Amino acid sequence: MAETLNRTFTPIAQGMALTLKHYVKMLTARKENIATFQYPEERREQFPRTRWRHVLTRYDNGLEKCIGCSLCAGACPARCIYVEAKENTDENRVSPGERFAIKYEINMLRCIFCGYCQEACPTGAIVLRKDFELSEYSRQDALYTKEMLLEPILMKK
Amino acid sequence: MDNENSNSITPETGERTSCKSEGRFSPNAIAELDEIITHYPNKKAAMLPALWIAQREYGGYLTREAIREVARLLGRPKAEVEGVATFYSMYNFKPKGKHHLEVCTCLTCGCVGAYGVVHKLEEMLGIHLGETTSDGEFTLSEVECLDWCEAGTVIQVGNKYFGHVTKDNVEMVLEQLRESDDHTSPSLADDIVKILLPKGEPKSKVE
Amino acid sequence: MPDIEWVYIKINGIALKVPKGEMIIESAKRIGVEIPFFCYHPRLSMKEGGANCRMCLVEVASRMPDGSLRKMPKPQTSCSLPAAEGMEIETDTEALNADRRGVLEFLLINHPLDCPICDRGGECPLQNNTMHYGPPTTRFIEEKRHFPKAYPLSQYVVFDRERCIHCARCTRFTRDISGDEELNFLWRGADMEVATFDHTEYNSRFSGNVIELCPVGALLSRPYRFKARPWDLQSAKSICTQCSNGCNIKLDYRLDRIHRVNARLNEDVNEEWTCDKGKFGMDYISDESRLKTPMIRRNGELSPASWEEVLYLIASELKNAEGEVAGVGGAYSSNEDIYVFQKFMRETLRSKHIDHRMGPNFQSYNSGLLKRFGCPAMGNPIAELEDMKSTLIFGSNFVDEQPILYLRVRKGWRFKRNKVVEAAPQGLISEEIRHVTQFAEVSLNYKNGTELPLAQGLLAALFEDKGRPLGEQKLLSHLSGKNVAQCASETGVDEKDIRKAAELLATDKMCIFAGEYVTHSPDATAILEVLGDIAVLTGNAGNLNVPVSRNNEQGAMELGILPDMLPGYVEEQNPGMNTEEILSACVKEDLKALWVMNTDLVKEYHNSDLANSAMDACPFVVVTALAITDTAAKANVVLPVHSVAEKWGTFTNVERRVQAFCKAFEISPDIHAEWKVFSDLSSMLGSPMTYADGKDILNEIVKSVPTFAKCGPNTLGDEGVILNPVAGGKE
Repeated sequence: MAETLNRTFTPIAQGMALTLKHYVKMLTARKENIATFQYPEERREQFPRTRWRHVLTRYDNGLEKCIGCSLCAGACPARCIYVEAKENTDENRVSPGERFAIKYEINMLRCIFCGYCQEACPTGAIVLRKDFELSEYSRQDALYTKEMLLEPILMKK
Repeated sequence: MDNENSNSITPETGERTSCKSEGRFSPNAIAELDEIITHYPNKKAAMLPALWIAQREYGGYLTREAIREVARLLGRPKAEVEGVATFYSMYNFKPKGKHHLEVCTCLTCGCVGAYGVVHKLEEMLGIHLGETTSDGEFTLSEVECLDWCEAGTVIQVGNKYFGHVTKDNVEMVLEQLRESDDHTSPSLADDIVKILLPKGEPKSKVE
Repeated sequence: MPDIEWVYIKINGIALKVPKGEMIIESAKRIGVEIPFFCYHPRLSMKEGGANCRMCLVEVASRMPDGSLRKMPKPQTSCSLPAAEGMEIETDTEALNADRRGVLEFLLINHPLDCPICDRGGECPLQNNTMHYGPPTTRFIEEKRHFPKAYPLSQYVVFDRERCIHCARCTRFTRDISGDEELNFLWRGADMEVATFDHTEYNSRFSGNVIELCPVGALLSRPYRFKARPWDLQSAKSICTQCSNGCNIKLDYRLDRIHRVNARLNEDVNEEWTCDKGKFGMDYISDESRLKTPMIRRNGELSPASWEEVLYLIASELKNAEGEVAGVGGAYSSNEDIYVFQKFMRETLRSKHIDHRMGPNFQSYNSGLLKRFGCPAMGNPIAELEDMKSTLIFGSNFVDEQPILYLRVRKGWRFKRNKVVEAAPQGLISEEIRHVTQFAEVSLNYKNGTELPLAQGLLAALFEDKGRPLGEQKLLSHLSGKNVAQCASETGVDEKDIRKAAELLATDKMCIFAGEYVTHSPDATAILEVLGDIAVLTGNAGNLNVPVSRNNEQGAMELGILPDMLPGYVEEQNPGMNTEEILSACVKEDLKALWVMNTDLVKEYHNSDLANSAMDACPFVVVTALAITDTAAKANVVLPVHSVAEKWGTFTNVERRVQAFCKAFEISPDIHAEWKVFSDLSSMLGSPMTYADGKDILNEIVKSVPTFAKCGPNTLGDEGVILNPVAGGKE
């Protein structure tokens, strides 16, 4: 009987002790040592070179860096980027130089976040940043258009 | 001597007037060209003389009509004629002044003060290098060696040369030129055409 | 063929035998040794402007008479170095690499590095050669040359002068190939630039080729500008549909849009050229106006309908018509479509009234030619034209009617010193238009409408020539007793010119082209008889060419869209009605239904009033079309059909060459192939046709039409096959 009780409750007690130990440890631990995050209220700080959601950046004067050269699409191993270019005019200047991207789409379902596009970009327009929350309700929504990817214009203070 | 040219240039502006038979070569010029063509194995080879004649006929510089006309007379593409003409610096594409002063600023002349002469001329004429005075009398430009180095700063005006020019005596050059009736570009072209024609030519000069 | 003298040379230590005088750059290709180059092009002459890029340098050692090798002190340009016995060439030494680095550094001094936005980027020889042979960096820190970007040279070509490396390919092209000589170097020296005369518009019928020739992104296509990058594009082998020459092209497309057309090499047809009509005229394939569903006329308006509904309607109407049906058109459809169409008309509907011809005097000429020479249109293959010692181009605006044949004839003149005689009506030859006149030895400028007397004059001159045998007395009958002087006064041509032309034509290799001024003339048959006599008299029987002008007109003739000919020119015993008779019958309401096969009948038929009233009078008109044309707008039913980019098929070009084109993309599942429409209808009408695809049909054609015997889908290859000669032809 005692044998049975011993075999039943001792492991439970041991297990609970471990849990208790960690509970106490967590309560008393310093915040930065805790591995678990209370997502989505809390978010983990991403590593500096992490590669997640793409952003199309701008120059300080608000012009787009992207020149629609389609080198990112050429470099992409998943063939998930589609670029269509157009000619800049003086009335409608989108980027410096002759050419800008009128359409820029990335299929996030296909993207493997290899960062080759960033590497291929001659103007540093496309960069992969830290926003990793890329879930969508439909496949169509995972097709990120230029408007979604483009960085907002920074207002000068 | 070449009144024919003075008809075609108004002294004030140096621009070609429209009196020249609708942008065509005069019969005399065509006769000259026909004669010159016979000196060459084919028509294409006569392009430079033809351009000289055109330069004379069109008042000292080659207009687009002049080039078109040369192309037509030689049966060559217009682009080719233009390509040849633009290679040579002695064909003009803009109207030049009545007297075209070309100052040598090469090594030897430069050593004896060619730029002093240039600056003095600029000051006297009120223009910069490469420009023409507003009355159309003088065009000033600098050129490379004119092969008369012993004569100090040399100024070439068409086929006339002025040697030993300094900034002090350059005024005399201008005075001499002002008295002269010669129009540099057309008369130079005329002289060259005459050299190209054999002795005894040119045929019936129109007076 | 003259005997080729062979010499033995060594390239990089590899011994090889090459024809004497072959340029080393070509010899190196034989053993797969790569020599970089920019300005070299095998089809452009080296004289005046060749060997200027200095990229193809090689080190050469030549064999001295005493047998020793002597190395040339400086590297030589291999593009202008003819092979000679015992030469030893090195193409890959340290010194050469240094030279190439130097050449590229110089070329890049003024070349802007805007490759990411340049349309040539990705397929640019300068880019590639710089990657392979170029210096890693530049030492040039000064300002580059600047010109306005994207200068529009013409409607089709845009020019970026900053990028130009002055290789002279384009200027040599305009001189050696297209013949317009519009481009040349201006301000030669440090400020050199390519330009047209006085910066006027670059006016050429072949301007598109300079875009492909340019080794950098200086000359670019205006319609293609910034449309796509090379790696975005997929490419399908195709055939140009803009005229009957059948240029081999590549359709470069992205998704379902044609972005550009590039030439595809075919030595026997277009070599590597295209004309502007073809290069910039294929946009219609992915045009917005393409019809995407069948249309039915309801209450006087065309409205969309389903295929089932449409086919059911057509089947019932055709059944009711009981053979009182006619079909016109077919000159723009593939051989397969044409074959199935005539089979459908003849076997399923039991109607003989089919015709593709639209011109006024088309009714009899080809059958006459066929009976006489056994050649239904062109007697010579295109490749043979450049070897003709003299060519007579009679009554043709040649460069517009037959651009690729024009290039061949001009090539023969330019590189083989052939003579060309032109006979054109007054007004066609003008100083400004640069075409055959420019290089013709004799231009016969006749009064309009005097083609027949001029041809007779030429024939008479040949007879009067003492050196000609006068044996062919029966040919004299076509002269109607005229002599040269009479013909000269009648045509307004100088008698001397006629005699001179006749003298030039009296060679053992001569061919004649008869253009639209002949075929549209009321005397077409008589003129062709006389021209045929000229060919016979000079010993060139069969060298009379009457080239057709529309895309697959030749195929329509070969495969029997003719009222009096079955496929393969088998004569029909009881001929049906020709186009004119069909249209008149429609007006008289003798026909119950008319099928217009992918042709804008109203626009193309020479008498548009008749075509219009026929379309209005006919109770049931079916039109297959790519878009709503003027003809389709008058139809009862319009069926959307595949264009050249959407199906596999074959065309027969002007020299009777059958060439295959491949499917590129599909625009809509509701667009069907034309043969599919006919086979579906045929099945509904009780005589099933079971074709799975175009290749099935071609196999059937190969079996049933003897002229097509060699043209199976697997034997066509990339370059096509010329049809078997037609049996018959007396002379």
